[in-house]
Amino acid sequence: MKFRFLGDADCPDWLLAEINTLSRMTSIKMKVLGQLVAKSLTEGTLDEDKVKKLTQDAKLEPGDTKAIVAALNLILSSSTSHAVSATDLSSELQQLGLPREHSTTLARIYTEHSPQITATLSAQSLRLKRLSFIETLENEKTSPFVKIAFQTSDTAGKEETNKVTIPKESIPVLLAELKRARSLMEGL
Amino acid sequence: MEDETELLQNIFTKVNSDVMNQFLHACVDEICGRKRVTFQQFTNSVEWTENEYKIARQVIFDLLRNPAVLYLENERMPHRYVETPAELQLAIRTCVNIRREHLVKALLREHSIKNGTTLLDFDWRLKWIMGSSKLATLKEPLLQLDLIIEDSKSQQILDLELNRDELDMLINALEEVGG
Amino acid sequence: MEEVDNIIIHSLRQIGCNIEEDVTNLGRFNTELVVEATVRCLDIIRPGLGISTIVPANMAARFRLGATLAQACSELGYRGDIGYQTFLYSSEVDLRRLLMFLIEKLPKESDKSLNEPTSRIALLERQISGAVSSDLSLPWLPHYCHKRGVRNKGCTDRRYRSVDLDISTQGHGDDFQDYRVHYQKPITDQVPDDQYLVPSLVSHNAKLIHESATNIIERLQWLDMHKLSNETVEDKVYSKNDVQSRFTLNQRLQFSQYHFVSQNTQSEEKIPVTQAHTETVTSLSREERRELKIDQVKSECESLRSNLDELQVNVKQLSSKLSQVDVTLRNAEKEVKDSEERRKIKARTYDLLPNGEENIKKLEALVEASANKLINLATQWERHRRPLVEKYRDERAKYSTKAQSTSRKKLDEIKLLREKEKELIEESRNKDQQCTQLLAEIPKLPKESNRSAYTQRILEIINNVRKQRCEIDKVLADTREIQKDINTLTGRLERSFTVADELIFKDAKSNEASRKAYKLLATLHSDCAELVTLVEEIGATVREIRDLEEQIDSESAKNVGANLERITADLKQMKQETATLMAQLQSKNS
Repeated sequence: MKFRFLGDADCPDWLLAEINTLSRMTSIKMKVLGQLVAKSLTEGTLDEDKVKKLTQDAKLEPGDTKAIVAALNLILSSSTSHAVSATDLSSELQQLGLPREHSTTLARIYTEHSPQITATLSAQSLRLKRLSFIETLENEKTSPFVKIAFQTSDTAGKEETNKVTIPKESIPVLLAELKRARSLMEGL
Repeated sequence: MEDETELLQNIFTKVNSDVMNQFLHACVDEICGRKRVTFQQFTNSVEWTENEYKIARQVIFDLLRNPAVLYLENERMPHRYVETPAELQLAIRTCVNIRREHLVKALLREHSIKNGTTLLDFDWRLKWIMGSSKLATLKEPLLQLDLIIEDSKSQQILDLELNRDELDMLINALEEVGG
Repeated sequence: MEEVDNIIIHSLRQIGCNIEEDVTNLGRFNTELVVEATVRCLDIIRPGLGISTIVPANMAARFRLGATLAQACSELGYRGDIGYQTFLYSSEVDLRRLLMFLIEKLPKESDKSLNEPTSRIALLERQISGAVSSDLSLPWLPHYCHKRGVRNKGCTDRRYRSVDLDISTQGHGDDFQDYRVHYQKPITDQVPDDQYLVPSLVSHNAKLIHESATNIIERLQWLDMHKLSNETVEDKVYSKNDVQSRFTLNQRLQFSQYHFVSQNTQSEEKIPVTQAHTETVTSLSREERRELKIDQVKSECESLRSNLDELQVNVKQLSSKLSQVDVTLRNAEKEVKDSEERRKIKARTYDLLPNGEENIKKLEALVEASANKLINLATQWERHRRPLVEKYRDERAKYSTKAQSTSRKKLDEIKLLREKEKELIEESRNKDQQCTQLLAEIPKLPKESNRSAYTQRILEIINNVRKQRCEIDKVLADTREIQKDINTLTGRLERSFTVADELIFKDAKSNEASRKAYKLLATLHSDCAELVTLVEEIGATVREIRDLEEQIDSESAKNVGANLERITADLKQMKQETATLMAQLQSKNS
């Protein structure tokens, strides 16, 4: 079987097992847990206390809790990554054995959160060097140079500042070329 | 001092004006970062010893690299210029007059490189990102901007990958500076 | 077979075949329907084949159509026996097999390609996906083997390295001309390497287009100023050029002098620092003294600070006082103003007091005049007011009627909406009821009835097959046993015959009767053998008969008779067509 929300791949066995544990929870609890996981995907931190409370109510082992969170994480991020429609997601989850109610709630969470998750995922996508800040350090009227600081962050998120002296006469050249590139970008 | 002037006279009288011009322009070319002037280039046309050649080269370099010479005003000329033979003075004047723009540019660049990282040139490529491991379909254009920079140690490339917003930021910053 | 036919007919209807309601099995398909079904299937599987769904009347064209259809099917991978006869003179079994094959080949809905992309990006992505899929079909090569492959298309592996080129065309006069003719180097010599050439040209071009002109003297002055303060670095450069001669030594000496002077004038701040430096190095006692001095200064600082604090406190007090004073000042000013006004009025009355009578009269006149003026103004006002009031009334009347009409309309609308709402509520209630009904029905419904029925039937069929096989095995075992029996019996017969033969043969020499008996035995034996062979032959013929009967059945299933009739009719038609064509040809020729 191939699943669209997993990128046209087969379902991993562990996910299948965790779907079984998920279906043992009530759909309301799963909804709250799913919202927590979705929030963690966008904000980066999981509210572990709330998760603990939820899973203790549902009488789950800590190991199972972790596995469930991982499963929800995979379902939401992978569906967002492959841009599946909510109805597809819900029906595919049902095919995997998640009860109907659970599947629809999960699909609803997905439609609610997928724009934000998409944004964070695209921000996390591989980029060699991002320009995070630019500042003119020295710009004297008489001087034929300007000094500009480029603050960049690389793939690992390490910040770096490069101070570059640019001849004033070549700034129009640089500007013209960059504007041309910009218009090319728009034209795509 | 007397010896020196004599020496210079000795060295430069050996040269006819055509070769002198050649020599001067070759020196300017080297200052502008092109090929080095070599003794071999002039062995056939001038009867210089290697030592004499070196001295001549040094004198010309000092003069051409001295900003005072580039004003082309008699009052500002340094002693060394005044000490040189009259024909050479004339040759230097014409040469500097022609190549002044290049010399100033080269000297400015040299100075700036000594004092910090300097932009020499740049290159850009437009890339179309189809997807990543995080998002199967990303569809975003990225501009890779390679700033070729040089400091006192080495020449490097400062590579930036800019999306639309970052490029706008850069353009705005540059417009502020340029405008 | 009926279910298969149903499935086939259903899917054919789905792809747009015009099959009438009463056609329930493939046996009732006529030639036109067969051709239409095949063409539609082929059209979907392989668009752009361009075969007409209408069967032509001309026999030759029909034949050609059948042949092309057969070829298309075999190109798709149909393994069975296929030819024009499959379509024109179809038999049920062949047709079923063919249509099943074609329907299996029909693309699934998900495989359907979306509408044609038009934007540049979409085209680019299509190209990319095409390139990737073609690359995936190629065998793997290490990356350095395909320099010219897709990987390197559209970009170079060369770095962008450039130098400033000298291709200036500015400047006029003999000197410039002379330079360009004699001394300027061609651009290929200006670059250190071939790789620099193109980038340098590109950069130069961009600079020519966009670079802003700057004043050269200004730049020179800046350079002059900054260079002097940086001469130290330059000295290092000189020392690198290890030219060892008197001249350079001299020069360096001179240079450093010059440098020193310039430093003296340029950066005065450097000097105290260096002085301080030398002082610390030369004497330690001075340092002690300095410490003492520092202490002194520190104590002075303390006292100054305390002074400052006091002063600050004073300032605060004074400022609060100042604000108080301000407030009192403002009050006083107010009082002054009031009293001044009062004084003015009083002064005026005092002025008027001397000739009171006259002034009173004047005042009365003034009063009267102003009263008149007031009346005047009132009449004027009335004049203006009346038309306006009328206008206002008119407008109000108009507006009220309008408003009423609109409000009535709105009310009507509201009523309509209410009714609609009621209807909708009713409808939704109905729907809810239906929903609950249906929900109640769901559990009653047999789950996956179809599938389980099918599986049951399959299981039954399997059981039947197993039973039949058992029986066949049994029969086979029986025949084998019988064969064995027959063999043993013939063996015994043979042996007993030889024994009898020998016995009688011995007696036959002496006894007449026994000779006769011997003869009879021989004839008996040969007759019996003949009988046995006859029996065997009968069996064989019976088997043959059965085979033939089967053949007849199968042939009759192919409705050869009808087909033959159709074929002969078609043949006749063809002959007629040829005859007419021949007649036409002849008439044309003559």
